[in-house]
Amino acid sequence: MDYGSEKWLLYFSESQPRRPAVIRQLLSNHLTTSALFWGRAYGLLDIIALPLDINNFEPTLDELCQKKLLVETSKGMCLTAKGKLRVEELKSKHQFLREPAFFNGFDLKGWEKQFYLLVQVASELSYQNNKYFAITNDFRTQQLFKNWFRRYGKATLLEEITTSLTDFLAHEPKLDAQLFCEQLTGHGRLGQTKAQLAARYRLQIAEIEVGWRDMCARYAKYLLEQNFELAKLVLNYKRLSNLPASTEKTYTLFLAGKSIEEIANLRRIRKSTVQEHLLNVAILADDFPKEQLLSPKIKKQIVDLFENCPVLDWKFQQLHESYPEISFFEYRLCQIERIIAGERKA
Amino acid sequence: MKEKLEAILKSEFGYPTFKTGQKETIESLLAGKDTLAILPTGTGKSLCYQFIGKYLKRSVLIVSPLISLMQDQVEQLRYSGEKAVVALNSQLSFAEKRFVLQNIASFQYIYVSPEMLGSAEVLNALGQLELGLFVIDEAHCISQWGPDFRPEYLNLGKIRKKLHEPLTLALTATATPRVAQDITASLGLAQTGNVIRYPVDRPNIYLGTQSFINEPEKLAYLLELLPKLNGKGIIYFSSKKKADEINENLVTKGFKSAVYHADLELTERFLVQQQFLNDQLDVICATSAFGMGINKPNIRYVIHYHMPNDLEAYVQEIGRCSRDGKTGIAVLLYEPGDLKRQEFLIEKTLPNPQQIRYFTKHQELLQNFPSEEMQLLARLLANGYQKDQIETLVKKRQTERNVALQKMHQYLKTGNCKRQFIAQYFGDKVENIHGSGTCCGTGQALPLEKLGLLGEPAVKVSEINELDYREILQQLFKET
Repeated sequence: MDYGSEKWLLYFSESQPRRPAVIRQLLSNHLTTSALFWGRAYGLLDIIALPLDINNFEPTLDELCQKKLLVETSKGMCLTAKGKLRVEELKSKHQFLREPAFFNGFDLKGWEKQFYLLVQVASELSYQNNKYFAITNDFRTQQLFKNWFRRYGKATLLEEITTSLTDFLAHEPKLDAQLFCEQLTGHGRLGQTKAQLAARYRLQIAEIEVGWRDMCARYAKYLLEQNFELAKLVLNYKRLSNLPASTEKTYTLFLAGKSIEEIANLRRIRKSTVQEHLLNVAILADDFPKEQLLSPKIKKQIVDLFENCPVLDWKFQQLHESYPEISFFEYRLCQIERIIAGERKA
Repeated sequence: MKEKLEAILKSEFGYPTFKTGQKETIESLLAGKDTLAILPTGTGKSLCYQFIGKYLKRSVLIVSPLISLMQDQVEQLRYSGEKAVVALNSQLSFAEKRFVLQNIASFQYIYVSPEMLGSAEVLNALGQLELGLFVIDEAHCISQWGPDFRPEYLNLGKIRKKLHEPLTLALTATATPRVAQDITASLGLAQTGNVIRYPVDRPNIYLGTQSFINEPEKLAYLLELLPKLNGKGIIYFSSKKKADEINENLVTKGFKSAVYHADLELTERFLVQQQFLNDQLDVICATSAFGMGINKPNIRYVIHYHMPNDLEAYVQEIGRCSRDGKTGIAVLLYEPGDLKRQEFLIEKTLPNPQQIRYFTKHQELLQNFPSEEMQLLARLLANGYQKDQIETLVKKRQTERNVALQKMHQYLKTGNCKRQFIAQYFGDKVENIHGSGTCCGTGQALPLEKLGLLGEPAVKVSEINELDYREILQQLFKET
């Protein structure tokens, strides 16, 4: 089975048509307001910046359509019944990312390197050996580890690494745990490469890769949740904010009570840019104070007009004909509010 | 002094005796002479400067052209217990670089990339040190006549002056007389310097070549040859894709083989290299990215599925064979398409006139193009070369490199002694062992039995010692 191209099926639904361009933008971290809006509507914000290769994305979807696994509609693509069955089959047979949100907030590649080193150093220490080649000669990785080690020492390292790995892996499917451990390097033991594991377990390299990243991410999350001292190492890889810096600045001014016009003047950016920034925050942060920008009266006018219409089928043109004074910004904000309310109900 | 040097070798490095040329180089330096040492591959060139560092108890500055090579050497030193070692290169962040420069005096071995030496800040910090030794590794990169020319290396003469002309050691494994002359002239060693040259020849390696009418025949030969070969080996390719393809073929046939090239993540490269060093693999399918700094004494064969661009590279790559002095074999495989491929590769690694014209005007755009030819262009521009100069240089290099490739091709085809051919190219005099039957051969059956390299069929179902993941954890972390 060609797992490589069929993985895209996972991001489509049988009931909701989805636009491929939105999925590509989310995966490639190209976050326009529109991509974020539709990403939220599709429930796909978790796939932002997933480390997947999106070359050939569109041609591959064409192939999937030809295979009758996807079908194209005017509003986007849907899974066919055959496609849905294939998704279930894929899910039962293959490794998939179960902690995608973790990628979004953390530098996973950096953490992977740290994790390899951490296991190797702990292992060599447990055999009282200090003569070995470090698995990574990356200066930052080594430096961060040294800082941690100076503070917490050998006993904590050994105690935490063994208990955390044992406990974490006990709750994982056996094969996942096996593949994960086979890749670790330590005293007298060299990890297997992904190609070697793929050959031995008759899996595809892509599956091994995705599985490894998934496990690394979830192990990191486990360390954070269980308050291990090792979690301090994970925190080095946390990205400071999910919001781009410019959006963050706009939002800070907004929270300080500035109006859209004032923010535009202060920051010397266009009013429409300020509005885009605020919409982005509204999409990403459920606690965004939408009511400050959307009066109850306008909200009622919009909601009443589209009373029996699903929120993604609303048309701004239709609203504009009845209430020319309502802006697109207010319309979009109301739509976001409805989508989030709908998610809560579900 | 003689006994004293050997005693230090034993106590500091754990070796009972010096290898070819090491002692001569060290004695020359201790006599205060700047030295160009041309020592064959596998003789432990880095020991020469490590020894001086220990002996003089002063800092040693080593210029090294490749980040991967530099990292390897840093790791080797750390492994041997030397912690006061650092690599100053573009991989350091701004803050890390500042930290290193502020503490520069605390490092005994400082590796630096030639680009870094272009920075006034770095040069100032290094200028404060009382250097025991200034080392130029892979010194043949200085010569525009050599295949690995690096424009920054041309500045090393000036830099050496700025560092108050410290005692200097230039090291290389391969330098024709013309290149050697360039090195001493360019570094300003010509007047006072001492040149130590040992032949590049490795008499314990049989040199064979085989030509085929097409690629399928070549592949068939390789697949037939491999099971007969005893011991571990490397197969070199010019193409990553081909390396992948043949590795997969070998793995399916039951060989313990792995692939190594620049597309692999760094951790995976580490693993493959270590597995090979630890005899967990029989063969590596690699590009030229593999092998620098690899010191595995019992590699018994080096096969080239594609020929390299020049004899310098070839000699370096086959030099990884049988460093323990036992018999090994180098086999170069050829089919007519190979020459064209290498010509194309050479052309691709040099900027064309259009690129030169465009990018001399739009230098700021160059940083977006990481390919080799663009980086060469960027480095030339950064070193103040003008458009016309670059065009002339590129043209000259194109010619030089094609001449070098033709030499490689002649080596392949010659029915005369290949060992003498190489010796002549590098200006060496070597003993004639052509009559021995273990010297070389063109298109002849390889004398594997005579060489003692005829092995048991290497294809065997490898018994995998399958450990449960809990057992792996137990093995990794010894209970205390």
